[in-house]
Amino acid sequence: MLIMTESTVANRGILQTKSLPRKFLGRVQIIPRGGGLRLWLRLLFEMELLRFLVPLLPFVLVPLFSREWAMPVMQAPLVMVIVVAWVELRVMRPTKAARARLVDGDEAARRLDTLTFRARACLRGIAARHGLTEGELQLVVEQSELGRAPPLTLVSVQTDQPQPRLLVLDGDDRAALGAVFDATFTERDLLAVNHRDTTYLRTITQAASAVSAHARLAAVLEKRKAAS
Amino acid sequence: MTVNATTVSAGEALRVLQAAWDAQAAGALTASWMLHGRPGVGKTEVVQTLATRIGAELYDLRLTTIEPQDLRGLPYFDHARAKTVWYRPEDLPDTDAPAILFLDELTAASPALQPTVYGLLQERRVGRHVLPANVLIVAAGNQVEDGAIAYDMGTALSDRLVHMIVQASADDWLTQYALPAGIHPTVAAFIRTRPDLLETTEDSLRRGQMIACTPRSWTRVSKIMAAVPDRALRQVMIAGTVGSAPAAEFALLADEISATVQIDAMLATPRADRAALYPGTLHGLTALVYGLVGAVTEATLPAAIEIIADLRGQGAPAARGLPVGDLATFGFELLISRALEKGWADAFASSAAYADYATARQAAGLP
Repeated sequence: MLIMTESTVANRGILQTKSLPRKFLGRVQIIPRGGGLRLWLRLLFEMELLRFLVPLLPFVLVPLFSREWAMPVMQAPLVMVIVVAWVELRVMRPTKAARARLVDGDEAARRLDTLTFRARACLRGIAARHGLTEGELQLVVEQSELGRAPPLTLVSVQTDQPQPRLLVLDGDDRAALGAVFDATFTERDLLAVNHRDTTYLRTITQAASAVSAHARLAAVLEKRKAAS
Repeated sequence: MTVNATTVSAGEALRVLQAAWDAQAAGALTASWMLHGRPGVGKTEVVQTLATRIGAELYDLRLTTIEPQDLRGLPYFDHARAKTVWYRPEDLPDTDAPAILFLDELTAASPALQPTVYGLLQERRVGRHVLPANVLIVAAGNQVEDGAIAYDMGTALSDRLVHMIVQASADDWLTQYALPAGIHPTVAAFIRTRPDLLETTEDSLRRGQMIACTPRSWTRVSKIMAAVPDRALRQVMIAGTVGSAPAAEFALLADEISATVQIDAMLATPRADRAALYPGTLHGLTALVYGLVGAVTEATLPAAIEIIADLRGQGAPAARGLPVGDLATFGFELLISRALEKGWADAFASSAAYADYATARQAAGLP
């Protein structure tokens, strides 16, 4: 999971938005700050151009080894398109039948309830810590559609006040968001539901005015404790 | 003609007007705002609260009592220039200080006054008297179906305004208005238990009764409770304010609360001896919560925290099977909000009673 905020993204310009929810995958190239080799490789794999090169590699290599096949291969762009399409649509993405088999309707609803429950708890804590009392907070969870790769999950907190924007999240906020997924509800669990619904962007909202005074007090006391 | 605008509570209307003021102050939006609503729902209080909050002077013009010339001013003859000159009326703001021009009872204003009001709303001027840029124009009025004196608003006037319909909401009134306004705890407890009696204008009209309950009438009841100690006299006044049936119901609650709620005594009594002082009914406990939150000071906050925390068990009420857990949560919501507003949060950090309550709340998985 990559939490999208100023301290985790090197190209901060992509965090600007004029409308909510802000979507990233397929629209901008994300350059994480740190994040580890695994995340970098996964983000590279998300780049279509690089991914297309893999199925096209045989079309480059065959002429090098076989003169007989060189002309037919180089003059077969339609085959290249078909191969790329086959890899992208049938290999990298599950078929409709496979998506339906991933998770049944009841389990999908249960997982989405879990996501909503945890997301709202995070949003309440974040609203209290940031002293937000107006507008609506959104926890936006975006996942890559690619099925045979490890899940790529982007999580951001967005608000419409005073204008559409992504919240700048500190260490406490990121730690709280880290609890959205755990061993009982993994990114892969959510991806299975997303494949089933072919919906890869989930938005959970919380009105800032509905955050309890209890939560606000807890945030104030935590801050004072940390400062002392 | 129906007002097809959004219906909002008084608290929400206040937030919209605050945003309108902020936008106007930033030079982004200058508009005139119209609050529709039944008599007594709190339209005037909304504007008064906004004026206090933004530090603006309130120019309250009751349009049913003025003539066009009251806004235009008086002419005099300038002999030197051979011209008629108009004196500016003192009812129009004319300084650079923040101000709100409140055109109350706009829908009841005489049609003869409307052209003058059009000028104010659209061009922000009457004759040569121009309103300064830092004046926010807010109008208010009843609708024809509210049983008040009102004319249908023509499209020319309607088009010059941004409309909202203000509706009484018990929850909003209790949390946003009652505490800051110092509403008597008995009135607050009564409205919490009978939220349907906060506003009964429609019901009264249907029954052909002249007196109805409104937020404004309950505010007056609160003042009567504080000002008139004689029970019999008070009862006559309250019946004349909210109607005889709600007044009778209110009197039962008031008697019970006055006999059982002892806020000052509870605050002064050590924790171990307080159990016997808790009221024995939910009405009494509700009034206790409102009274405590209204009366609390920084010095008495630790005791108030203990009293609300102990609602759950130490006092007798829990043993009597009353739903005091909800009331404790509600009481703490009010008390914490007040403490955060006043900067008294430290009292909660050092309170063992609150620590116990917070632990129990966390164990119950409450947000």
